[in-house]
Formats: sequence, C-alpha cells, structure tokens
Amino acid sequence: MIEPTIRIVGVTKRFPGVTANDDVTLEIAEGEIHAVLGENGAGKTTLMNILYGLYQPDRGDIFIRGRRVNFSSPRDSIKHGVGMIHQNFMLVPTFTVAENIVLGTSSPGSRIVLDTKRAEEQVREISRRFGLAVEPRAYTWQLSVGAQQKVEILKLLYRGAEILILDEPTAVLAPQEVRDFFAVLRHLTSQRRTIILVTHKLDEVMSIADRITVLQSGKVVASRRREDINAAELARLMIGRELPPMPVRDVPPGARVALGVEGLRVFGDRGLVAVDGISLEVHEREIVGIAGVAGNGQTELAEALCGVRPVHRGRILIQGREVPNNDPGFRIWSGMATIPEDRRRHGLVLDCTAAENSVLPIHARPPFSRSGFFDASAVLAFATQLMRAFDVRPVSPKLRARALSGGNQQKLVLAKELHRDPGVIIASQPTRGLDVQAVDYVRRRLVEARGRGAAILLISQDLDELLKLSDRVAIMYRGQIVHELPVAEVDIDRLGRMMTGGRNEFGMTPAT
Amino acid sequence: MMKATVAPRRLFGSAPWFITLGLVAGAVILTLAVVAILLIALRVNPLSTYALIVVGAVGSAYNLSEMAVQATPLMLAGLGVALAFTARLWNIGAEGQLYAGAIAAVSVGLNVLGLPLPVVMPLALFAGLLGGAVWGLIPAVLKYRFQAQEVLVTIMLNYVAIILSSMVISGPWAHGVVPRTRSIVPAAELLGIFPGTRLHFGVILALACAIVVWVLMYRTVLGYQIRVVGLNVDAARFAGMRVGAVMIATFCISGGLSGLAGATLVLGIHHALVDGLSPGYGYTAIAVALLGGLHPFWTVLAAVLFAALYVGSQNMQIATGLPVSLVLVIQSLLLLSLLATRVIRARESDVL
Repeated sequence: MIEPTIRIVGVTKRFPGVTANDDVTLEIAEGEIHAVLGENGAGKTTLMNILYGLYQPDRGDIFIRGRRVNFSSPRDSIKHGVGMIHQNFMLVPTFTVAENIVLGTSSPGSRIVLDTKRAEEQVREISRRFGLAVEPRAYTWQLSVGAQQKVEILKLLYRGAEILILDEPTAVLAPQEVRDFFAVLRHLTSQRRTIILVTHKLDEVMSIADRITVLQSGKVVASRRREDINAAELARLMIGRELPPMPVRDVPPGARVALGVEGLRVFGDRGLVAVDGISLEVHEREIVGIAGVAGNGQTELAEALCGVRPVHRGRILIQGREVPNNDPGFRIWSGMATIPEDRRRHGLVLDCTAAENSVLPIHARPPFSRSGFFDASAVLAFATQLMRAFDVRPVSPKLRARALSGGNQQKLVLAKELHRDPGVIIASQPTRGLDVQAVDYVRRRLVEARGRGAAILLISQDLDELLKLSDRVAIMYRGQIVHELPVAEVDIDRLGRMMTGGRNEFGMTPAT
Repeated sequence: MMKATVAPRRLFGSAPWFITLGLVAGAVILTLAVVAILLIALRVNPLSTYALIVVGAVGSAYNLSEMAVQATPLMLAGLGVALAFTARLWNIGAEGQLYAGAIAAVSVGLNVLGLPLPVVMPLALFAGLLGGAVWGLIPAVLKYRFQAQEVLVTIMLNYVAIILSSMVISGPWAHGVVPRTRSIVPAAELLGIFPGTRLHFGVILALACAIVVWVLMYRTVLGYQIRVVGLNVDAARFAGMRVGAVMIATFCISGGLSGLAGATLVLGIHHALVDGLSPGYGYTAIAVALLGGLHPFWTVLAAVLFAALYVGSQNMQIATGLPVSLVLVIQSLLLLSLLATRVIRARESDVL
C-alpha cells in the first residue's frame, strides 16, 4: 500500500469542559479531495487547527508522507506543505493581488524594495499553472468574494503548499461561484495537490469529494469513498440519529386570503424596477414558495412586504386590510412575522443580549413596557421561556446574540417571530448556512406554524426546500411572477428550467 | 464551536472587570510615562509636577470644591453626548447646546416679566433644558427630513449659538462696558452648598441627571430603542421601531442635558451671561463621554478626572510656570491610550 499523504493517528484534544477531538484516526491520500463532514461543534475545525499547527494535540501523532511531524505553529506546517484558508479571508484590501500573495515571504527583489514586476510575473505564472485566473495588478478591495478566495488559494500555492485545508469555503460564495470554485478544486487535484474540505453541507460533499470522513462529537464515525455512501446515510451519521420525516400536511389550505398582494411595483437600491407588478395571494394554512435565480427581485419583494422598502405602486393586504407603506410596526400589529434574509443584520441586534432580542417586535407592549418603563425582569423571564420552547442553546438570555452559533441565532429569530402565532409569515432564506439539524428544526417550525393557520411566503434559493415545504410555487424572473403552480406539478428539473427565464416552457428563449 | 466573539462595543463593556481595570491602569501609567519624558525634556521633575497636579485638585477643601465646580458642566454635557452617541448620532454640538441653554436660562433669570420669585430659578433651569433641546432638535429634524449630516450641522450650530450669545451680551441686557449681561435676580441663583466656595446646587443636579440617564438608557422603552437604533438601525426598522422619532427624541434629550450645563454656569457661577462662558466644555464633553464608554456612571467619573486634571494643572502653572495646556496633552494621550486598549481587546476576542 502506498503511504498516504497525511496520516492522523489517535489524536485527542481536550478543552476545559469538552473533548473536541477524541482518538481521531484518519488517512488522506495524495491528490484527493477529502471532505471532513460534521455538524457545528463536531470538532472539524479543531482537528484542522491541529493539522495546521495552531493547536497541539494532547495525544496522538500526525505523519506527513510517512514522517512524523510536530507543528508548533502555522509556520512549521507551511514548511511541510500544509496550508489552510479560514472562513474569513486575511487579505490587505489596499494591496494588489500580487502584493498580497508575496506578502510575508522572502519576496522577489532585495530585502527592502519589492520587485513588483517579478512578483506579478510569478503570480501570473502560478495562476496560469493552476487555472486560477486573477489579475495580479488588481486591488483586492475591487475583487468579488469568489476572486478573493482565489487569491487566498494562490497565496498558499505560492508558498509551496501541497495540502490545502479549506474551512467552509463555500459559505461566502454565490451558487454560481460555487460551481466555478469546484472546477478550480478539480484542477488543483490534477496538479497533485491534496485538498481537505471542511464543511457541513451534504450536497457539496456528494458532488465534489472523493472520500468523506464524518465527525460526530469529536469522533470519527465513518470514513468512506463517495461511491459507497449516500446523502441520507451521511446525514444520519453526522447527527447520530435518524431525522423523523417531515409531517405531511393533513388539513388543506383554508379559503381565506391572509396575505394579498396587488400589482406591486418596487424599486431596487439602484433605482431600477426590482418588483414589476406582482400580484399574489397566500391563503391561511398555506405555504407559497418563491423560486428564482438570486437577484430577480425576491429580496426587494420581501422587504416591501415587511415594510422596510417603499412600495411604488400596488397594495399589500393582511387579512383583507390594506397596510400602509413603509410601516413595519403596523404589519407586526396586524400579525405579520418576518424571518429576514440576513438574520445577522436585519433579524437580530448581535450586540444586544438574547433577552433584549427576544422582545424586539413586541418590546413596546405590556408586560415589557409599563407606562414607558422597560421591565428587564419580565423580559428575562420571557426570554428564558422562549429559548426553552424554541431550543435555543445555551439557555442564557444574558448572552449576547453574537455569541450564539448560526443555528441558534436563527432559532432565536424564529422564537421572537413565531411565538405570537402570526397570521402571515414572510420567510426569506430561512435555512441558509445552517447545519442539518438546524435546517430540519426551522422547516418543522414553519410547517407547524402553517398547521396552526399561518399563511407563509417562503423565499428560498434551495429548490429542494421549496418543493418539500410549499403548497404552491411561484417563479420570479426579472421582477415578475412568470409561473405559478401547485407543487405537485413541478419537480426540481422543471423548476430549474423555469427559473432561468421564459414565460413558458415552450416558446420564449431564456434570456441571460 | 467555541467562537464566542464579543464585540468591544463599549470601552468598559464586556471583559471581566480585572482585565478592564488592568487595561485602564496600563493606559494611565503609559500616559504618565510619556508625559514624564516630555517633562524631563523640559528639564522639569515629572514626579513633583504630578504631585502639584494632585495637590491642586484634591489638596484642600477649596480645591476639591473647585474640581466639583469644573466637573458639573462636563458631567451634564458628557451625559448628553453619551446618550446621543449611544444612538449613533454624532452630536458634536454640545458646546452650542450649552450656549443655547445659557441664553435661555439668563433670559428667564433676569426676570424681566416679573414672575413670582419662587418659580424663577426652577423655570430658568427648565428654560436652559429647553433651549438646549431646541438646539438639538434642529440637526435632528434636518437629518430626518433631508438626511443632513448631523456632524456638520451641529458644528456649525456651535458657532451660531456662540455668536448669538455675544449678541445677547451686547444687546439690550448689556451691563455697561463689561462683556456680560446684567446680573440675574438673586432668586434665580442656584443655591450655594458651602459658603466661601463656588460650589453650587448644580453639582447635585448633575449627579441626579446621571441616575436619570442611566434609568432612561437601561430601564425605559425609549432607552431600549436608543440602544437598538445605535447598534443596528436595520434591525430596529424591521422590528417596527419609529427610528426617526427615536433619533429626534434622543437629540432633544442630549441637547437638553448640555443646555442644563449652560444654565448651571449662568445660574450657579456667573449669575449672568458672560463672554467666553465655556472654555470648551462642550468639546471636552465628547472626550469625557468616550472615556466613560458612553455609560452614564463612567462618564461622571471621567468628568471628575478631567476636572481634576484641569484644576490641578492651574496649581502646577502657578508653582512651576508650566502652561495649563500641558493638561490638554495629558487628556489627549489618556484618551488615545484608552482607545488603544479597545483595539487590543478587539483583537483578543477575534482570536478566541
């Protein structure tokens, strides 16, 4: 047998109160894309930080190409050809691509003056060799996130990295960029580079990885070739149990229209029409899904419905009553709940405590407001109860929202919005970026809210989610609804085709 | 995973108290050390200079009372600035609001209308509050209605208010050739606390205001809204808060506190509107509020510290001939090094 590029044997790492890695043994072969899969908190990042030299293991050994290594810092690991890209990029925005790449190395030129020309040439050379097209003279602040990621990869390749650790690399990318990025990874492996992909996204793993190692509570629970495993089994391994099936809907949608939209026209940030005459009805006990390629007006539609973006023309009706323009407060009083697309910016105040967040939409009502005074103890009691009911962990209402994990932040958003039994829910990308269990939890809560009579408008990029949850699906294209049909009549392929344009499936050519 | 990053929102916000204390102590020592180098370069013994400042500030009952006198307007205006900054309203106009309050207070204090004497003093204080509030309302409304930058508007309104006070001084209430108005009626004067000192009831008013501001910020619905608007205005909107109304209210209260500062100067110290009423209290108040981490109680302490440095440095000037402006150097360095601790702590929490 050939010696694997990396062999991790019996690595254990303890932090006060937790065992982050428990006797982890793992082999990674040269030139493969090896996915390390696990829920948030499963110990993936700790393991990678050990491999990268940021942490030292309490026990266990690491072998690189058969030689036992002992990294005491990332500087050691890069010498052995191991490099890591973190979720947050470490680039100097005001430097050019080439400057960023050679930064901190024994750069071309003398010790004092950087030979910019040669640096640019070198960067051009490696970017050609590895198929990573980036202009070396561009300033990094000018680059898209996808391009910045390429710069980070080039940085490692320039330093001679042969093993690249990527921590949740697709979290920041748009769907189109992900495809591009995967092509880059493939190209890298063809150049004998080994890639370790740390992620919790099943679909990505299934589409790109050669081998998959699943971590659960710090332990390796499986390490298989992709061909030998399927997504459902991976999910079960990741969370250590089977997720019960989504409850099937038992009561059909009611006849009453809870949310009505008539001829809505809304402008986007750049003053162009973003929502172009949309009419829509959502009945009580119904989920209507909005599908569409990102940037076709979904965000603006949601914002207009929530009252944070002015409506240029048209009407919005909640339970048959028209709501005034630009007035989120009125909508809240009328029983509308909002799960905003960007939960960190719009859904929560990250530097306020969980308790303060839990009453955001209803803070001005008793018992929290008593003739203008804010009853902090009532808020605390309420928040504790709410966090228990919605499984927000830890149940520490005095913790700042920032300190919660992404999944728990979203649960907190759900808690503050859904506890008051809203009649209308606007949910935008409610499960984006969450791990499998949190995704399942959010979906369950939405289905449950529908069961209690809520009319839900679900805007999502996740077609699977739309098909799973919706009763009807509407497809948005260039600010208009170009199709609207019961979910039973669509499958994922047909949906994908309809999203890319054309008023019908037969006649018009999709515009790009 | 254990990525519990905590944003360094406030200077003394989230870290354990001993770290905070250590950092503050470090900043103070650093400041004193740097100034010491400066003093040595001037061939002055830094230790004896510092001793002179301390003695000047707290060395006698009178010195203590002078420190409290200087601290009073700094506290009031500092509280106003802290409140506005909490809502992310960059109110640089405390100086102008102070003058507006002083003008309003003197116009009532002169009692040209012949009001019943017992109501003149409270009414004059209230007028000061109102004057400052009106001066705060202007930038708020301009911001709300026309998205005018409050930084620019408040700075310009400072000049307007100062010039306005010069007009009042030289106007119908002028007092002969001295650049001051006639004196207010005795009934309008703020009561003194200790005979033989300039200490007046205003200092108690300022301390009471600190408690009121604390209650406002942390125990009222408006305070909750102010904090939310300051931390995340988008989330505030999504939550249905009337952000414009919150901003206007905050600006008015902020201006009102500075207006009170002006009123206490007129009613408690000068008993008239005088030329050069404020040596820049409204600007120092910004540093005071920042040093206090925008927390009302810390702001009070910061005001006391700045007042002590100011009063103490006068003693130093008399004894050594060093200019009082040395204290500006100390204040600025202290503020800078304290802000630097914030950067250190931001970096720490990033790594964790």
